[in-house]
Amino acid sequence: MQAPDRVVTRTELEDRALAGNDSQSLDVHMSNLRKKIGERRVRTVRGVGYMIAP
Amino acid sequence: MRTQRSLFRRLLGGFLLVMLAIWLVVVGLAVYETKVLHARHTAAENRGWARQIMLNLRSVAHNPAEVARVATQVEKLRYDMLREVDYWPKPAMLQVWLHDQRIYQSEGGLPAGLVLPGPDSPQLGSEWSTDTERDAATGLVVRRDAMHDTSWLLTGSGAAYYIAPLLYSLPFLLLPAWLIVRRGLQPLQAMVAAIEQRSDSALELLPPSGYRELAPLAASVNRLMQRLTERVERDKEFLTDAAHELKTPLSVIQANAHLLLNHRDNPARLQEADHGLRQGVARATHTVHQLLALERARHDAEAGAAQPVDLVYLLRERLAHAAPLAIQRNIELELDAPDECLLALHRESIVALLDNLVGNAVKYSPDGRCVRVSLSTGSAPMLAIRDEGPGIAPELRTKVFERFYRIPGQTQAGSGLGLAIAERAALRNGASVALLDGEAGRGLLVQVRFAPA
Repeated sequence: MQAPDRVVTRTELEDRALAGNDSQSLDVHMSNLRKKIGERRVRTVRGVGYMIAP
Repeated sequence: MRTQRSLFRRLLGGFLLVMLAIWLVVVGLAVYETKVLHARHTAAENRGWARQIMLNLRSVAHNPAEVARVATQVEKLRYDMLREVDYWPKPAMLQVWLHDQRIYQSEGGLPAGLVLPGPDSPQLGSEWSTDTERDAATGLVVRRDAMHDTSWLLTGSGAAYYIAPLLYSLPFLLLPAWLIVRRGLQPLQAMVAAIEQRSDSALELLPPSGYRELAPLAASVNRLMQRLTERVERDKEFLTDAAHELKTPLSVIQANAHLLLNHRDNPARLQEADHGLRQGVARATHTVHQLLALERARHDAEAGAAQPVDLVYLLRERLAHAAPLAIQRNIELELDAPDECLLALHRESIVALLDNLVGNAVKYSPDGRCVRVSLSTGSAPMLAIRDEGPGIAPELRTKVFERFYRIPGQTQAGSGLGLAIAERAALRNGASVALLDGEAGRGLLVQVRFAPA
């Protein structure tokens, strides 16, 4: 949320939010986030990361 | 300061050194031979005299006083003879025995330290020759000891005899040697003069040298000239192209600035002019940035050696950088890559390469389509960037790498430098860029092959 208009890479997210957890759990978190703020607002860039669409 | 070495002196010095060495060997041989010859000569002469004296004494053998007189006379005869040819005879000792009784010994005697030898004593030394003659009928024994004459070797005239040829020949040898070496080096000097006389803009090739030894020099100078010419040409072309490329956005800026000034009262025109002005500035800025990137990408001297870089990490970073623009236009951007791919790369130029290739793919991709980036790591890593844009016709695929080349009819704005930058950057990182048909003949596939890790 701190970086709207910017793609945050998976690596960055894993490093910041999920220290030690595997990347599967990142997907789970993302799908939870989608449910909360809306399907279209979380944009995926496959293989790269995620972006919060304005 | 070290004095500068001279090829000329080197050649001449070598020549002189060889000459001196040969002279020393020849003189050594001559001296040795002379010593041997002198010993033989003295021995033969000594024997001859001894026999002659014996012949002379035989008839007077009965009278010892007469023997002494004849012996003295014969010795004096020899002495006078030698003096007449200006020669100082070396010491010689003549002794005569009658029935084992010494009845004569020559005057002057032996040099100090030598004992008077008997008839059967060995020779007095290596410097001496000796001969003993016996006459059984009269009971006479004649012994003559003569010293070899070698002293002249060390006298002034002896030395002069050996050194004179060298001294005489030196000027005759040195002068031609000097001339030969000088003449021999003349083509080199001519070449130096030919290069020296040029102005810094005259980069035409040297005429090929007729000398085998100078041909490689001329050839390498010419190769350098050729490279310099090409480089100067390239730079000149680059400069005119760059100026030309900047002219368009600058005139756009100028025109819009003019509009801004003259239509202050018309908000619609003002906004239009403002928009145009911003676009012009953006385009000029982009061109300048691309020019700088190109210069950096091709610069061989750019800081240091390649560093290990994780290409996957870098790809994510650059795609994340490009993604907002893609998402804005609803373009699906995706990366298919392993977790890590460490390669020795120049980070800055690889960033330029990725940004340009991905940027192109996104730019030319129609809205709502897909740009797929994949990295395969086999023996040699290969990066593939696929878009669904208009593609590039096969016959233009070499031309698009030229600086400032734009495909005719192109509507997208651009500097025409992107692929040139990508290619130079690839080259600098030991990689190559190839343009191919996209999937099902649609769009463009850009392949970057890296050198095997």
